[in-house]
Amino acid sequence: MIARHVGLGALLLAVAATPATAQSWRTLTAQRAVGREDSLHVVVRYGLGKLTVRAAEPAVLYDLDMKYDADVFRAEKRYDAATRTLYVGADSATADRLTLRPHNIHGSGEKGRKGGEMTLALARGIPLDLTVELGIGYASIDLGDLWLDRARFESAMGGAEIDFATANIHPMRELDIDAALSGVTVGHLGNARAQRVKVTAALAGGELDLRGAWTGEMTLDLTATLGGFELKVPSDAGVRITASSKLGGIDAKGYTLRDGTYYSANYATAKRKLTITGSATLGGLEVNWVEP
Amino acid sequence: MRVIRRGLTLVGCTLALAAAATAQQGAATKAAPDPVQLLLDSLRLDANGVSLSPADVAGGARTIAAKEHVVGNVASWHGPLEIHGTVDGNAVAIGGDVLVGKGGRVRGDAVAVGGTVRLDGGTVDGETRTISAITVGPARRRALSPAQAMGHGFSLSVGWYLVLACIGFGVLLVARAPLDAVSDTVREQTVRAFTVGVLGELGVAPVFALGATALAITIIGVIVIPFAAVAYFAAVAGALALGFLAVVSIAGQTMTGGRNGDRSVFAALQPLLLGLSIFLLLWVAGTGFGWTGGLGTALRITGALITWAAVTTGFGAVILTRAGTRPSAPPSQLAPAPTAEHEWQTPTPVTGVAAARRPTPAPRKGMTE
Repeated sequence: MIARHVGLGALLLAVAATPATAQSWRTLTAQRAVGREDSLHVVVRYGLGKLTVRAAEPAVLYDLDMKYDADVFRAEKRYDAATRTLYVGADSATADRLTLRPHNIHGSGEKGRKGGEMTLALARGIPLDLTVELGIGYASIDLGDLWLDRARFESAMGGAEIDFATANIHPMRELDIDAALSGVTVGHLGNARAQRVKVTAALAGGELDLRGAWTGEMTLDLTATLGGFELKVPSDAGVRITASSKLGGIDAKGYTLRDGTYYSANYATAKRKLTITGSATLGGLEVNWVEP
Repeated sequence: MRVIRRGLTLVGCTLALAAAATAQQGAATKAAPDPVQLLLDSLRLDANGVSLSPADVAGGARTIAAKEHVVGNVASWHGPLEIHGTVDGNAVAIGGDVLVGKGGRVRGDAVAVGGTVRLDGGTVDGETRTISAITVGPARRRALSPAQAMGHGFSLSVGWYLVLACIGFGVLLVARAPLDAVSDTVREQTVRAFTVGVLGELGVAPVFALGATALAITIIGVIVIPFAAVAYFAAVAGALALGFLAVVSIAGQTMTGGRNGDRSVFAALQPLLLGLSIFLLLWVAGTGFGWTGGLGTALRITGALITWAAVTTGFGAVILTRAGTRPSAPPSQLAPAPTAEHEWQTPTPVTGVAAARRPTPAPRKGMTE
């Protein structure tokens, strides 16, 4: 009797298995040479698939290469020469429809379908104001060889690997990373030379590697809720932790507690100093030393 | 004479028909959309397209010579576009490549639809862009064919069957007693269970809102809300599943002729799988007849109603039995409240309080012991 039912189920399952449907792939490439632009504001809204951001070839303002499924996605690229602003990614109608439905998570509702890909190369040598809103997907963002004046990254239900392979030409004014239900890894964050780094994570976690060419004082404002972060701090940097913990934990072994603030042993003598503010609610914060 | 009249009538009709046909053909020719215009409209509406006029477009290959200076746009249709001179506007190749040769200059954008843009010593002041195909209108999911819709429905039904079968097996292994208690309640108090189930379903959201409000009063409670929400809805889902499995089990037992006294897990699994198969067949029938339109819809609605009734009845039984932890008896079967007549039967507590003596009637007059 049981075998009959299992057999029936297996048979119906086999009947139900349908072949993958062909996708309506489209490609879009766009490139513009550097003209009179003395800065560039870039807004990337990408919800489906894999995103790669890197430095462009010399004298190129931006170089976009996008492959997308036109059944579920509308690609859009707009450049406003007056404000020197580049908008790339999903058009507003597509972006508004992005939800947590399976067909968005997998790029489509049908089996065997794949998400798209987008590679955006940005100009070297001019200050960039970069905003990346990553929906459900994976982003590999290599910010080496770029001059970032300000950057903001948002990730929802995705994964992002951000790396500052080389030192930012000038100190960055502000770096914001906002992650929800995501994993975020930032490599060589010190190369961003940001005076202030703000990381907000909800149900998210990751690793922040603070190695790099930063000098002076840097403030890391980290708010982790239901998540955890590991900080890798170069051993020649002095660390001061004022972050609070609510039902969470801050792993600060070897630090001295004075007036509610943790100080590393080398804080007074270190040439560069890191101040960690914020809070860890139902989350954890672990600070580890690494070779500079 | 009659023959001549008939002949003239025939000729007249033929001419009239011919004239009408000619007129229709002319109208059709006039109404036929210009393919180039249609294409340009689409290209204009594409988010990454470009706006061109028909005068800009030339069929086949097109070359702008070295000393030529074009004011405005140039476009080729189904052919390559070579720029060796200067174009003040955009250079567009539809179904071909754009080549900007040495000395060539495009002050606007160089766009290739279904082709590539190559710079061979020339310059483009604007953007160099390639589009594989024109994409117009909002993205929408392609409508499923009847076969695909049927396959999708089958997948969904079988998936639910397998999931519920696995859950049922697990329940039989670890929660057999609660399942039996819920089943008994469904069998004995079907209407009451259904009524309670409906009320329970209506109360799910308000109860959650009340609970969340109560938690929000305190700081600790605020932090607990997300966990409480997950736990609450997991409990509701579990109650729905347990109740549905109880109903399914009863349906299977009805088909197999009732309980046979075998208390083994596998003996209980058989009616459960059979009951699940009944519901599976309901949904498969609705899916299988989907191509018929009305009949398929009616079957799906019937399946949905029967399934909802089963889930609701089971949910009510779960509520009545407190998730199967206590048997629920109808009010008519509840033990009567103790009365003075039965007070003498009160058992003696172990603490030593004496039980009441049974009242004895007073002896009647005239009677002796």
